[in-house]
Amino acid sequence: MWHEFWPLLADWKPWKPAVRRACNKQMLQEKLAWEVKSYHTNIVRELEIFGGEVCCDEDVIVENVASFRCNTCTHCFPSYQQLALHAFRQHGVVAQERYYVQSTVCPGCLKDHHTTFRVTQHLRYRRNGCWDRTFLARLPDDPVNIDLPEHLRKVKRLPAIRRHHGPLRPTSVQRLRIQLRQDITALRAEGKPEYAWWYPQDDDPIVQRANVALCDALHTWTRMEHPTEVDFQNLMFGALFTLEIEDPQRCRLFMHWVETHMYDDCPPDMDPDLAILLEQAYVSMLEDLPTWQIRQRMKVLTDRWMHLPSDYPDFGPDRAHCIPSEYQLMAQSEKKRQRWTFHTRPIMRPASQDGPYYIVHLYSGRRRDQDFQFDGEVPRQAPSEAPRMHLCHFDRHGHPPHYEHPQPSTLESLAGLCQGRATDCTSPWPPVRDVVSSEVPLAARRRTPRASTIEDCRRIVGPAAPLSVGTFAAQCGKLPTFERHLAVAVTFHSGSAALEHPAMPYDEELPFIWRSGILRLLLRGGVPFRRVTIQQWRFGAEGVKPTMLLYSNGSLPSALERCELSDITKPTVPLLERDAVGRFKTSKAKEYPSALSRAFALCFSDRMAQLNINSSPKEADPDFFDFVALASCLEGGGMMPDYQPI
Amino acid sequence: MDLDIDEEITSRIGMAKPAFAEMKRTIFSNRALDPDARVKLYESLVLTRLLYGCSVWSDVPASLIKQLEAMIIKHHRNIHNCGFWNEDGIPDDAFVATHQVMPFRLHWARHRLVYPQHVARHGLPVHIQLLHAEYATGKGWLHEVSQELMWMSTLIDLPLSLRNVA
Repeated sequence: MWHEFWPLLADWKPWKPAVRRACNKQMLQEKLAWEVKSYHTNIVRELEIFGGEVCCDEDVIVENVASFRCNTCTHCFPSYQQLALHAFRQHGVVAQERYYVQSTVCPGCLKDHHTTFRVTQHLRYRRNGCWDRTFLARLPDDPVNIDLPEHLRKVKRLPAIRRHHGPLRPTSVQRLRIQLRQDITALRAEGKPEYAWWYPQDDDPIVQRANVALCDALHTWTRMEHPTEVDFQNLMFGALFTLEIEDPQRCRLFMHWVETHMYDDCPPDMDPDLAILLEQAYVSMLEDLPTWQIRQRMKVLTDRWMHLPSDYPDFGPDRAHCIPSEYQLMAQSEKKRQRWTFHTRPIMRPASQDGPYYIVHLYSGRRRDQDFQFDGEVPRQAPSEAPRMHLCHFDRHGHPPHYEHPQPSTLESLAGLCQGRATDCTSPWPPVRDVVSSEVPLAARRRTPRASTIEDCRRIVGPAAPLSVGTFAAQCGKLPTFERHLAVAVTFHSGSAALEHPAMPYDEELPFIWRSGILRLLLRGGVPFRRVTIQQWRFGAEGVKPTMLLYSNGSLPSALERCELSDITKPTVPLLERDAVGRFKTSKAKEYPSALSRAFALCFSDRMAQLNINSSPKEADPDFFDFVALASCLEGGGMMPDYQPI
Repeated sequence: MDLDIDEEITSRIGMAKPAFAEMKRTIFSNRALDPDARVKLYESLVLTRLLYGCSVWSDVPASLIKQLEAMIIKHHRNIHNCGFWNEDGIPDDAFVATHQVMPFRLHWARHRLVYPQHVARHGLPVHIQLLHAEYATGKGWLHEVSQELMWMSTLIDLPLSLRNVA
């Protein structure tokens, strides 16, 4: 293979950029893996703040068990190093390699390593077979310590050199081969060519006579009234002793008859019980024959000879350091998260009656007057609460110039109602703010998916779609984790949250966000998260847009039902390709229907009505301002164009 | 190579550390310079000393790899002023991911993958024969390069024959 490789590599012009590209890709993948991991850790930590405890069914409580037991006394130690130290201090045990080192020359490779310590290290850690050639091949002796001579003490780089020449010691396999060869030779001599290793031919008169005599004996035995094994052996030995040959030859002739003629000589109407007895009888007779035993031993030896491994066995992997990749383990981690359950469920903190209250709106880069972003929407639904309400918009996709298209895979809208600065609970903003502060510079550098719409995502099936990262774990776990973190923080502060994402595909094997482990965990019973499926055309969208909503602490389904448009028909034309003007037909479908925004506003205002809040206005939490500022901050420190101070 | 590579890497670390310390005050901790510029200077002034000749390193002990990784991260922490002295408490993996620090293992892989092209272009036939003889034993530099090629083939598309080698 390498013979063909060298000329190809020599002529390959973009080799260096290709290597650099691979390294950059590896770094991006690792960053992605780290993001997924850290987001999930943050969500679990958030749940733990509220008393929740997440566990996996495979989690085993690993105790610090002392598993390394001393062979000499009863002490146990948690690590091998501690055991080795104990064995040296208490029992004077040293490395077994030291007993084989009596000079500075390695007994395996005959190289001079200048000190006995280096030879010991060489035998212990080098997987080149020196230890294999030495261990059990020579007798151990007292350890010897030889250090560098005084004039070489400061010389650091003294490579191992070959001072001795001669054949190397055989490896363990070579030793075994030599031993087997000797055994086979000895056995061959013991059996002799004319006895145990004689191959009788049927045209030989002595063989013919033996066959006839043994056949007669067999017939005599079968005609007996109560034949036994002893009778069989007596008759057979009687027949063999009629031949005037040596005993080993008689044995060999009997074996030959058993192997070639016995079953043919059996009478066709032989009783089945007698046949079984015959099987036992001739086997027990064979075992009494020394020639048979010799041939059996030879069979074992030749079998071992034929199955000997290579003379130079694999001494284990060399010091190969694989490039570690968390990215490759993401699918495995996601599978583990699929089995997450609540060992202890998180407890929701009571709602504060003082406020202030916040509405956080996460959207994806477009604004219209009738959208949820319209500041008057929610106050209009709940006018009495307006003085204590603070509205914050956070454009999740407004990090130019790195985004070419809105990311369809992220949650396009999150509207959360939460309350902070209550006397008996902590504010949700600091932990979320920490996430946002780490999120913003990362988000600004994130690559854009190739698919520009939800329909594109559905149509493209393959590694490039829908999120263009190509792995199960990444598709399931990465992008909307920040929103989920925020939703968890909001929900368990008695707030209300709603997250929107395209509906689940029918194909059960297709990874999708709604099938991710963290969402499965949140949607299990006992946690205030629910899921509802809608079709956005019922609220005025240009496309059908089947959508799933994750919501908490609110009556979103009833609000949705109230806001559904009645005088509207289901669109039937798929929004594919471009229209006559050259715009993508899907551009209209991207617009968020106002009726749906109104449903969210209704849901949150209902929730506020349930909270029985006092009427005195409150100042916003200072942490909230930090959150808003960070959420609107670009990587370089500048503000996003649509930043709205409270 | 017995124990030789240890000394080689220790001496490389011994050269890179003073190089960093020499220029720490003037360059690497100089807040007047952009962090990206400082990282570039670090790569050209310190990493070059550390990684000189690393293309041909093989059979490196794991402890030395850890030492090299730790040193590079420590230097980057100094450059970005992000360490225990700030009580940030950012673990290494988060720091590496946030600041896109290329770990030593990747630097090493890059150098080792680039070097075979030099061998292919300028190496004598006897050199290549020796490499093949070592490769036949299932270990050695060329064997490790094959593993790097295998890793590379998981990331970018390689021609068929290259993939066979990997």
